[in-house]
Amino acid sequence: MTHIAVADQEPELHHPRTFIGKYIWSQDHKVIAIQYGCTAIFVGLIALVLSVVMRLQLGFPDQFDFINPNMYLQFVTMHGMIMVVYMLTALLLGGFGNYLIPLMVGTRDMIFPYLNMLSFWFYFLSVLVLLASFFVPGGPTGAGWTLYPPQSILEGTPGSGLGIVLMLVSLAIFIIAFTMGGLNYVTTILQARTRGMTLMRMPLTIWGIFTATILGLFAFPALLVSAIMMLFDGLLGTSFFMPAIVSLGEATDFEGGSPILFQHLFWFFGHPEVYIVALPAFGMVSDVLSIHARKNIFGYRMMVWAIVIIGGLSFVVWAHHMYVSGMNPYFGFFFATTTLIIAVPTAIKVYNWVLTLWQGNIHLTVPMLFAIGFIFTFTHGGLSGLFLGNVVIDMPLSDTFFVVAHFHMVMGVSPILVLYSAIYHWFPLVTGKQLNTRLGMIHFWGTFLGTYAIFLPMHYIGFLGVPRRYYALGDTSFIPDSAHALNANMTIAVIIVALFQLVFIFNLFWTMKREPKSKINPWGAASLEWHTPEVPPGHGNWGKELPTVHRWAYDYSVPGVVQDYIPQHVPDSDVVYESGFDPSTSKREPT
Amino acid sequence: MKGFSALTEKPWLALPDGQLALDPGSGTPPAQIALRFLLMVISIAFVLIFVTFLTRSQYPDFQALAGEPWLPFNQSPRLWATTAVLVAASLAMHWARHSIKAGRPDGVMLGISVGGFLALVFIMAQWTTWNYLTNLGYGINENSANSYFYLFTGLHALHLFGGVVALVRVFIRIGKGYSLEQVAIAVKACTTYWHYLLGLWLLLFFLLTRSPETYAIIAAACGLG
Amino acid sequence: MYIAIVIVALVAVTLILHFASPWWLTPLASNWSAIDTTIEISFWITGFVFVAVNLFLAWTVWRFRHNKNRRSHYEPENKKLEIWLTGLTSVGIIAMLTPGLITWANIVHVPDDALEIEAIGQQWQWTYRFPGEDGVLGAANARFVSNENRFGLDPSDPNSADDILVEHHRLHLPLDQPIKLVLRSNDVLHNFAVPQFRVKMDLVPGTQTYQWFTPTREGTFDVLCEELCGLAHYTMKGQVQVEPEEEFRNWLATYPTFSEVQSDSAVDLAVGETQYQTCAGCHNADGSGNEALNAPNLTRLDSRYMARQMRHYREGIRGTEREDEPGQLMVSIAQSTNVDTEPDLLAYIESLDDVDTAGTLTGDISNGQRLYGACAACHGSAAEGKVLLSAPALAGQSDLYLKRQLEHFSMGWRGKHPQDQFGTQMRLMTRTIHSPERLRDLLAYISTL
Repeated sequence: MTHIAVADQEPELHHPRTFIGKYIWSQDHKVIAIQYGCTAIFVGLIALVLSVVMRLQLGFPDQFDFINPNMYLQFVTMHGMIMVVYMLTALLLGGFGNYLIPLMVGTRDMIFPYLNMLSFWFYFLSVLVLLASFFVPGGPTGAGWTLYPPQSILEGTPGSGLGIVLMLVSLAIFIIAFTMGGLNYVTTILQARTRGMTLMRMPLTIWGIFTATILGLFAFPALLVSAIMMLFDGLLGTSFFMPAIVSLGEATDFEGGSPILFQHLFWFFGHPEVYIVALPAFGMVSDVLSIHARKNIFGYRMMVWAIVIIGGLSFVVWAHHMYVSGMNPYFGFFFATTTLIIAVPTAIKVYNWVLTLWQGNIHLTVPMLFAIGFIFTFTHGGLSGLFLGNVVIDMPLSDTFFVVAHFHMVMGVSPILVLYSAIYHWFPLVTGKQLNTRLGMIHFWGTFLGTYAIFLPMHYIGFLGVPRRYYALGDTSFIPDSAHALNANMTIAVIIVALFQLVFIFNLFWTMKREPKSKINPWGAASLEWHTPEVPPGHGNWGKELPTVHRWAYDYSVPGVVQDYIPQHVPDSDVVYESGFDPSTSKREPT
Repeated sequence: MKGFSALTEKPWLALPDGQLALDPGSGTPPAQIALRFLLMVISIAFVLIFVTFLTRSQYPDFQALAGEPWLPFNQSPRLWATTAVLVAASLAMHWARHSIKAGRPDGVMLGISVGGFLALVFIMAQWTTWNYLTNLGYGINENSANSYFYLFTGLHALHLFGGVVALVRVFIRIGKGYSLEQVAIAVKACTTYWHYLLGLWLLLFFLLTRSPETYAIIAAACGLG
Repeated sequence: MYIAIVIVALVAVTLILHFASPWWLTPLASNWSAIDTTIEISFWITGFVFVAVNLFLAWTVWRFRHNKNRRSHYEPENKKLEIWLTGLTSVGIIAMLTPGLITWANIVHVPDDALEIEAIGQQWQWTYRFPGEDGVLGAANARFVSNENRFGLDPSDPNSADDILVEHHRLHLPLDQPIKLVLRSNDVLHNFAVPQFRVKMDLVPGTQTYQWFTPTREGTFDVLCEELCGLAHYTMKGQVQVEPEEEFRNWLATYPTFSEVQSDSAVDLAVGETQYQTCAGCHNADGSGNEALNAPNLTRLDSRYMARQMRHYREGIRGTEREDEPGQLMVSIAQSTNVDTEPDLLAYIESLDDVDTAGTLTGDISNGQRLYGACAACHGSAAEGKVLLSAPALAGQSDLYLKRQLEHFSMGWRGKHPQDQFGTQMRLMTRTIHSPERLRDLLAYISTL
């Protein structure tokens, strides 16, 4: 028995009538996706502004009197936390995951629509709590996004009072929201796929989201646990992570705890989190490359296995963030080895993306440009990761700007290029309109070149030994003046990149107001989401009957077939071959 | 293994004779899949706290709550009593589940009412245990062994409370006249959850009332010593 | 089409920047050349992959650009190619990992003849401890920390008695001698990093960590804290001076042992009182100072702070700038003060009753309070000063004196000398004040404390 029978029953769906039911307390996965997406983009913009402010201080130290050391640390912290958790995770899984899963696997909605709605509202609440910390006495926490105790809950660190409490509470709420959403995504993918949609016929986007969600479900508990235990330490005076210490000259009552324990818990979450962001991006970029090159993804099976293997390995590499943390140094051997092993499946993914383009018929559309840009930045960021993963090289480079440059290339710029690619790619599906291409091109070039101008030189500042999280460098014997000039240039690049993001925001509004309706399935995609009876898909997605899937999502340029793609739901009998072509000679036949 | 072979399929190949690949999902109801994942998530959270607990138990300042005659949990009739309550709650839920199969609505009502009520009694009993400990001078921040006791039992009680909320929803649905079939999955899920939390409690009970020597052995066995 | 050209151009720019970059690893000053070698190997391997993949990408985008008369090639997978690529990647990974792990084994194993030294981090300063004659560092714990025992040594441990305490941010090290640097923190996480030595390690309260290296080059290097440790993290700097063995021994001999620090050297207040007559001319008989003569109020100051300032005046660390006229006056006085009886003098000043100097400046007190937030961490929320943080009391001090000092700090007339650790920190902190108005607001607030 399969669950399709249930999904086919139209009456199961709850049809909202009022505006509030339709757009606020909505249980429709598409509306929830847009709610998630808009909230995530909104907080992302806040985090972007924070990064501009802190870059102003780094580029032009002490020129602006609205920045002080407290605020600098608070902005660094909030920028990091918002971007990683509240923007990227929420937008990729809550936004794209919600929108695409039911459409791509061919179901009417998530399996638990009510839970899905709750998930969004819990996420919204966590954002409100997070933003509230800007307005409490002492301001938001400035302990760095890693929130390491003991300092995060002690005087002497900005926001060590209410700020850190709100941060931890907000994270706990976010994790509850994520768990509700995550259970939905996993169950929907496992149990609600339509007829014929075997696991290996799913688009890579779904594989990426699916694996990332499982990573999230298993990794976020570590963050939840560490947040709860730190709240106990901060509010109830327990000593889970707090050893006997003196704080700003005053003795404390703490006794015997271990700060390193927190770091293990944090990075047991923190490393998989990198892949929670990366894997959906890997999946989406694979689909964009394939569709816009009119070619099947190269090595589909290898791509799926790589995603699964990367996901699995991501749980045994966490301590590479802790090589200089004072943990047992012998761990270094193990974690350096696992970390460098993870480079193999990742490298295969890069090769396969390029090989997908090889012998393709490449349309340089805006989504495709972003995807190609991603291959470039991701290669760069991935390779610099080989330095940091190798424990001895991490010694001089950790806690310098090299680390900052590395993770911004690999999990800042790269996923964001994919997000833009995905937004330009799926916008016609979501709204029925295609984002203005000219503005899109401007946006792409500004973002792609601008971010490289920020982060390429940053690696070299790091080589020099310039430490991160420094409000000002002061006088040192080893940093030449040219490095300060370089810092100023990077800051200018940041401002330029930030301005180019306004082009994107403008494009969203311009397109919604001015652009005409685009044609249906403008890119000629074969995957299921583009083949709903209505575009944008209506409530329930599929009209009367769910589609039946007859092939994988990558039948592009199949030899002998007239059309250059075959949609997933078209049966073999309906495929039109060129006259005189014998289908039995094609590579599609089993041998 | 079925899962593994599913991942080696070559999806671009046409199926012989236009045969249709029918394999979406397994026959398990989605709610059960979701519950399994939820229990895995909860288990991971607790396992992680266990790991920190065992690590922490080997630090010099750790003073176990059992092992010497004067320690509060060397003899723990109090905890045995609460355990009995939770076992009874689980049995009641099992009765409800059994009644679903047997098609007896009153049995279901009785089972979930008693199961839910006893769960609340258990939570109250845990509350009195906390008071008892505090009054004895074993406050939450006196020693990390105490901190862990409050943390573990508190989180466990919170999860049980969440279960009670879900159970109240089922209760209301039955009251509204939903058929047994319509609530069957929910009752089964709640029963599984109750059993799970009973198992978790037994594990906690065992772990929190050991002597320092036993902790040393367990920690060494887990490679955390 | 541009994208292919741009990718080629970006690869070129990256290579040019890499080879022409003046920003590179600082010249090595320790035995860890193996780290630099591993970095170099990694650069060749990753650089090759970077160039190869991206040029191939650019070529592909160019060669297979859209052409409506052509169709994409249909090829689901190519096992042979994928196996080859996997194999080659693995070879590259092994080539990078192997030298890395071999070097790491050396980093983990400290040689037996290493000299053990302890570096202690606290918010936001560095101090050091040497094991003394017995060659063993005595036990220490944050619980023992007090104004009299700032290092937190266990007084009951016989090994700690002869430990040499270096209460200074500059550590001297003998050349070519393997050093095992034991790291300890009494408050939060810190990280001891000298870029030229290549190794770094966190300081973790509640436990000890270590790093080892052999300094191979004479010179003075910066010590940076590289683990975010709070508000003034960026000011937590120290120095390491590598010098020949003999000079190192001479330097070490100038520092006291723990037992010497602990034993109360008896002070003679009567001697101090006599000595103070010289000071009373400017600072007043009751120590309350005299703004007309630019003399600050001494009554609230801790003797350790005053001793440090006297040493700074004497050793040309403070009061050397032409613009610091009162400082120049103090230099000559400090030089003529009898060093042997100075403790008596300072003890006498400390014994004087506290006198508060009334504030004279007006400003926006609430704004001042906001600005003071950053100062409170070290100087205390009531501006009472904190001995453990080496921060003098500000409450009761003449606001005109404070104003002058803050101005001097921001102009670099005080705290510019590399030996003046706290002055350097104050220079960084005063830069956040930004304007005379905000300075007045701040001082007006401090006057209310």
